[in-house]
Amino acid sequence: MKNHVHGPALSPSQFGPRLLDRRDFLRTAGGLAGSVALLRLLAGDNLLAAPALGAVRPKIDPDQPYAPRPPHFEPKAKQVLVIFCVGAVSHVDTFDYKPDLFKYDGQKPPGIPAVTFEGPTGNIAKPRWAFKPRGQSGKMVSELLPNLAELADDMCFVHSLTSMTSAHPQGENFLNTGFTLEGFPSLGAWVTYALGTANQQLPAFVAINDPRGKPRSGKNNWGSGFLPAAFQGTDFGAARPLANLGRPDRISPTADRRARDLLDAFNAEHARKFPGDTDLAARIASYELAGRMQLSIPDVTDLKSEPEHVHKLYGTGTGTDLKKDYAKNCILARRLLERGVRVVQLFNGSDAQANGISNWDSHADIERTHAMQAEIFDQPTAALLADMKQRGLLKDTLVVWCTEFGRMPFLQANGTGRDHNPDAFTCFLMGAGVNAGTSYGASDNFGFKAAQDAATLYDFNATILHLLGLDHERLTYYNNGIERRLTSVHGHVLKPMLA
Amino acid sequence: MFRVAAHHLIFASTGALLSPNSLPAAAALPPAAAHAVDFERDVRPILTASCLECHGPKKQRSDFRVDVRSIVFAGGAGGLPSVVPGKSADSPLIQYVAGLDEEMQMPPAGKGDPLTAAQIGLLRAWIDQGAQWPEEATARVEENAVLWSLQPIRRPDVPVSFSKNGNPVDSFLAAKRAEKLLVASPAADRRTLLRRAAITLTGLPPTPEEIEAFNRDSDPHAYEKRVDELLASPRFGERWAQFWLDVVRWSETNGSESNLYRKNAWPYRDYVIRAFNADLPFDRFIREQIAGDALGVDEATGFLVAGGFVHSATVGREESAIRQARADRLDETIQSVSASLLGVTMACARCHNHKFDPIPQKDYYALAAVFQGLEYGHRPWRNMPDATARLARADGLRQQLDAVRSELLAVTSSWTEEWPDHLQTRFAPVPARTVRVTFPHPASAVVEEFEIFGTATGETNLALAAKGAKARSFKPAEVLMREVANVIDGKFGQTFAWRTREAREKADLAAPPPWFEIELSAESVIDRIVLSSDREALAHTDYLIEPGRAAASGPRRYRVEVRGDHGEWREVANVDLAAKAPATPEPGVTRTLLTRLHVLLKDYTAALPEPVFAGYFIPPVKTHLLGRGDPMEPRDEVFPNALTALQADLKLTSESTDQERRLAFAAWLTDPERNPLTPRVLANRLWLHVFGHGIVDTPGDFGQAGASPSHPELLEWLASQFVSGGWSAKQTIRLLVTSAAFRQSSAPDATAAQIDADARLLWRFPPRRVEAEVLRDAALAVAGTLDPAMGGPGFRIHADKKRYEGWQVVNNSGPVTWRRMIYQENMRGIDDRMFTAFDRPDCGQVTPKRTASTTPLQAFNLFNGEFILTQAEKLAERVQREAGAEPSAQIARIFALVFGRAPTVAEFSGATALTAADGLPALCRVLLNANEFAFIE
Repeated sequence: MKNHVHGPALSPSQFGPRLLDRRDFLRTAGGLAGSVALLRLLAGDNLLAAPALGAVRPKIDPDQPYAPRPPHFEPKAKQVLVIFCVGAVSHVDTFDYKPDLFKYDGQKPPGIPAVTFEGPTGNIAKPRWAFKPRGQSGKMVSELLPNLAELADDMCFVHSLTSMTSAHPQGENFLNTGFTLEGFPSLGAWVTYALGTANQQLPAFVAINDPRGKPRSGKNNWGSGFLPAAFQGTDFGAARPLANLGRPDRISPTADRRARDLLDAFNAEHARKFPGDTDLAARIASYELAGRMQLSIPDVTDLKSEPEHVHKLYGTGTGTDLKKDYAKNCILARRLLERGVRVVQLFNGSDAQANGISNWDSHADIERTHAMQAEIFDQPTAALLADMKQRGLLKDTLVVWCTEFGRMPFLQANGTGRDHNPDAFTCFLMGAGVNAGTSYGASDNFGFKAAQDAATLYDFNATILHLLGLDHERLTYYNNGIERRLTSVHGHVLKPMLA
Repeated sequence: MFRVAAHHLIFASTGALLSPNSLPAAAALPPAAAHAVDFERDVRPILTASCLECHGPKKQRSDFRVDVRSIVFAGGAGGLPSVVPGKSADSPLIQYVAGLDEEMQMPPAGKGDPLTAAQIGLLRAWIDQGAQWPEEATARVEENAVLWSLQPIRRPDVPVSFSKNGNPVDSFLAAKRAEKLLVASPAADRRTLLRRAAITLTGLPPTPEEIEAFNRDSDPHAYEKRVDELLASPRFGERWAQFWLDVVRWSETNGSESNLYRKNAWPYRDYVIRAFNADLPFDRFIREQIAGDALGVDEATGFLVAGGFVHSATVGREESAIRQARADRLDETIQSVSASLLGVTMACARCHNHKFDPIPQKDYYALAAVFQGLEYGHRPWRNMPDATARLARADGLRQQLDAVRSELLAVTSSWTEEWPDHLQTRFAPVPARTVRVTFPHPASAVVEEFEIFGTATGETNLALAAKGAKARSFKPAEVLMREVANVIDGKFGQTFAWRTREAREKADLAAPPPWFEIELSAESVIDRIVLSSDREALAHTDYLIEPGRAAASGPRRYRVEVRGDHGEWREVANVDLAAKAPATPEPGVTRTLLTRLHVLLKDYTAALPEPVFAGYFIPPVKTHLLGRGDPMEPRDEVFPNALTALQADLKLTSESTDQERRLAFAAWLTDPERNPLTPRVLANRLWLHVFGHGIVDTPGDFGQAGASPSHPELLEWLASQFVSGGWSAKQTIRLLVTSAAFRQSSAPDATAAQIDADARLLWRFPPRRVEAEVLRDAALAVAGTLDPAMGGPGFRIHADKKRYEGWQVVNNSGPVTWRRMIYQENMRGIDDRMFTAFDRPDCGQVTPKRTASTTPLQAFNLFNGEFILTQAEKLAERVQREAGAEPSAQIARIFALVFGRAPTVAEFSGATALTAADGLPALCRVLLNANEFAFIE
């Protein structure tokens, strides 16, 4: 019970030939699949057994799995807020302005496929909201998100993103874990594994679910996959306390204290039999940390201490109930970031319905359903970003706004909604290290496919890691025969998005 | 053979390899040099000057390089030799450099001057003279580089000089320790040893009485007796099955968006428990899991479909997505098989040749071909314990049903039977070529599956596109999802139904009501139609709040009309399931009969043997290698086979039946002569779960990237012993737990720790934290609340849910949950809000070995969670019952139950103080959270 936290990660390099970083290997091997004979030879020639050039393994003290750890290089951002809009936001109705959609509205020009995710396709449909130039940059943003639009000068858009799938849960997995399949570590888990966190009184990685429930791929979005469970996101919200956080009602505070003290005493006596045992020490430390979190988490989730004007800014008292609850989550996100939580994931949209909609998946009546989502999303999110800016939080915090894919420039056959579009969609970055007020890449004139500087979600994730001081090719973990990465074997940092 | 990138694409598109024989005759080649050539003097300079730039150390275009003998002779990934000794005209190397085929000219245009006739003549002469290439270091390198785990299993001699207690395991260990000047620790005390053995073997701690008896037992074989008892305990299978289920990430839901419950997946879990308890020889266990359908154990193939998959409803309608989903399902199976039984990671070879191990991409698709006849889903559970009785009972009920139907036919011209998963409208036999179903306003209608049955054709559905039936629908604008052809496509899942909107507007209501009609390929006499939606889900899942729409909220009113080859439309049924009374001449009699019929229906459905989630089998299609793993890029056809590196030849083709494939593969897997991997992998796995580390610490990866064995000789011996001992898991485990290595103390030693911190060399027994299951089950055991009921459906901690909702934990602590955790319904990717935090796998990816992390969430769950609080109270009640009212006796009893020992003086005084202040449950809560309870020492 020595190296549990990093156990399997270290094993192969301790007891077997070291892995060569794949990229270096490809450089050696010429970029194509090597033959078996070649592999045998390389292995025998010790070319494969060269010291690991790539992997940077975080040194994790099992005693303090969340202790801050150095990044690979000087980071631009120390923390990250990921705002994830579940269900696929229509890029052509929000941030990706396409005049040709007005021109071809109601027509079916050549090149439109007969079938997309949900079935037959219909005609091109112009955006359902007017676009206006915004701020200094003159960025065209639609009236669907009037409050966020005001912050366009602070955003760095990428319009040429592509996904590998047009199905929601696989899309969520792909965006947040780099794989469409389930069970891979999430971005937040990777970052926590690499960097630990500044504030030992709070979890390193918090996932704030939508008031309606969890996203469609659930825990995969913040799970640790095959990384140690210590690095999974802790999910709670402003109105949804962490399970088992509180002292049980039937135990008084003093009794609880006495129980803790006796537990400490028993554990200390037991540990004397195993001097220097880090696993025992780690478990003792985890109870101490839990004791501190038992106080600090209720403190951070208690929004009553926030002044009235803050509640007003975020809109916790106006609009629909869903919007009010989401606004509270936005305040919570800011409070967590202020206290140094390394990764905060804020969800807008879920798998469960409330008020007739559950997320941005507007297959029908996009005008109505996207507007209902925007009512929940726009003002509180804009308030959160503006508030972070005003408090100086954006200096050290990277903000990622994302959605799993886009929506089609045409309607579904005989329908009023837009189907999934994995071949072109828009996300944005904001805050620390970001080239604000610019846009990277472009989709074609309909917003149908990425046309200029096509980017993958691997690239997007590589860029996020880069801003956090992590080289996506060196942040690896051995699992079942492969040094796994968030970016699989792909990804390039999107340098123009960097300040 | 040479292949450059451009040609690569040509091969891909035609799926055929260019044959050298198809090229122009040798006459076009420059003549071979007449003198004797020397490789180093005459040949290598040519290759170096003209080829090495692209086919050498820097680049290996088309996987080929000219500076490595074996590659020149063996060829690149294509497998054809580029040099055929003695036959220069047939050697692709010569044909390419001579430019016989413009496409294959080497060097290619722009990459260097063509070879001169003299140079080609030298190369030809070299080949014709036998292609002598001096032996060099590479030969030795190739020899050495062959992966150890692929070598035949040896049976090394036991190092006798170290043999003291006669257990060969200890002899091997002692020999290895001696290399590092380490010595074993003294024996552990009996209490520690018994607790260690009991948890290792059964996952439960010993009772105080068992410890007491063991302490008193003076029989020199007291320990062996206890081990035999523990191995014989049914608890053994419940413990060891979990390890197996982990590897294949067995779960009771499908995963992905809907994450639907898999009805009757649990028989596979029970099968694994039974197999371990009965010590089913592991080779048999493997064969049954691969081909149980051929061996009388249907549920055993639950192994093949243990992974998750995306339900067809959420795959998407694009061809590429549908193919990808199928490829992903096969991939899940390949992952299970390779991680659990082969110890090679096939995942890499899905897209390209394995980077580290001798696994060409073709091998991946050969395995895919083995399982090409497998599909994820249910099939009849023919060996269900009471299948015969059920069938007999169902047969009786069916006859009664038919009798009631005859009576019904006497009083009414039609009626509708509401089956659990479909509606069946029956009517007097009528000749029909076309059947039309009309849905009156205003309700919406959903139909995903539609069937028509004739009087002469029994249970054969006539309404199938495959049988020439055609579907038409009125008002396509009303159809929201896909065309009506979908209802006769023979698929029974939720597959984008024919659906009409609810008529809301006046104009809608004024329009004729929506209908669809099915035209049969020929007129038939028919007597019933069947309507349903998502019938597959209704039959094969559970716990859905809205299980399909046909029965619950599907069409309640519809009209059925038929038309023969000649003549007019004729109404055969006018269905109104909401009507108070049947619209027949004798409503009273009809209603009575219908009531009777529905009671019988219910009984009949319940009596039928149930389906089991163990996959079903389909005629295998041809398997193709997929370029870069992309299902839209099928390339060469691949026959079913096992690993090339082991020279496997299963003698199968694309014509082999599904069962032949799996049986042949299972036979190969379990033949140590042909496949040395599996016995090694299994022996290592048994070792891992006894000692906490594998001899190979990457139990799913015995390849180059995996860990090397810490004790290679021991692993060989153990694998050999495992096989010669009849593949007995129990005997092997017994050998391990009766070793001195297992029986030694876990006390630390600073000097030894500096040499071997993790005690991989077993200078002490390495202490470790127990798994989630042990923590939970042990709490129940010591509290006296553990329900020992074995097998059957698991206990639920989740609420019912809607299709696209996640599972919510609603009860993870109440009495229904007090069975062993292996019986907790295991929903993929769901946090159980209690033990998921303890590294319990989420069943997303295969888990050859669990991590063991430590996090405050664990402390929250264990210290504050209702489960432990409840058990603490139950433990306190138990102690009060068993130890009387005296606090000191109560405290002593709690320590005996939880730690198996008496409290120390300091512990006793602390415990007394806490008990006096806050009662016994408070002390119990503390002990159940203590490190001593959570670790095996």
